[in-house]
Amino acid sequence: MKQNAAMLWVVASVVLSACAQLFMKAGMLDLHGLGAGFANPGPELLPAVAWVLGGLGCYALSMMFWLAALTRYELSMAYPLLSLSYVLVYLGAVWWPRLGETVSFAKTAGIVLIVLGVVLVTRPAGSGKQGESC
Amino acid sequence: MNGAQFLDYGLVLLSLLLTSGAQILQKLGADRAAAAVGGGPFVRRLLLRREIWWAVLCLAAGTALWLLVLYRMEVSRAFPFLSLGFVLVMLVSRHYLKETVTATRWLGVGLIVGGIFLVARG
Repeated sequence: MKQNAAMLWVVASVVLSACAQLFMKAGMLDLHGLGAGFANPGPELLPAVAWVLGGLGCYALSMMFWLAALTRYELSMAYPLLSLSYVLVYLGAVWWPRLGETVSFAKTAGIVLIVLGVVLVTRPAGSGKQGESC
Repeated sequence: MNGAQFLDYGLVLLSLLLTSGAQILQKLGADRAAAAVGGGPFVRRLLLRREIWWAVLCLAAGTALWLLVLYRMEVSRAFPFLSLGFVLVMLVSRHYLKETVTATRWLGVGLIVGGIFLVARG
């Protein structure tokens, strides 16, 4: 039961870290669109700054959730879950019209390889027979 | 790869090195603060460790560089590159903690590197 509660903290942490990336990107995209705004800061920069700060806030919160889970429970089985963030960021960047990034076969295949790779690198040694289902 | 892309991935790599470095320094500082005898409560001992302040500095610099990365390139292309951090931490643990690296983990490293290559291409 405690392990399940810990997993919830971990999943929340991963979702927050993906949101952090997407929000920071949204803010930097706004700044990019403003172009000259950098040289001449004005109130039109505020939404961009708000997105970036929101993203940084999610980032900080995500780290706190991760530490909270890590210090309370035995979480060696949780590390592979971190690979979920690559899927979430890709889906978010493609589906959120504000970002509107491109889908491609190579990108998708690359993400699949990375997720598999991260799972293999981070899973605890000798866990092969116990399965990853828990 | 043209000059601008070379700079993009250079910035990604630098940001990754700084944030991974911060993690390692943080671990080092926490371990040493825990091992120290005397000096008051753990948090106080932690804040007195030089490694912790270097970790904060590295994290701040790495995050600032990451924002510059996001200004310049797609997040769906830049973010997957950070999975190289797992490889970095694995190699550092292997070197300093003498942890053995299994064949399965090396396979994972290969998949990560191949995946990054595909994402950069795609």
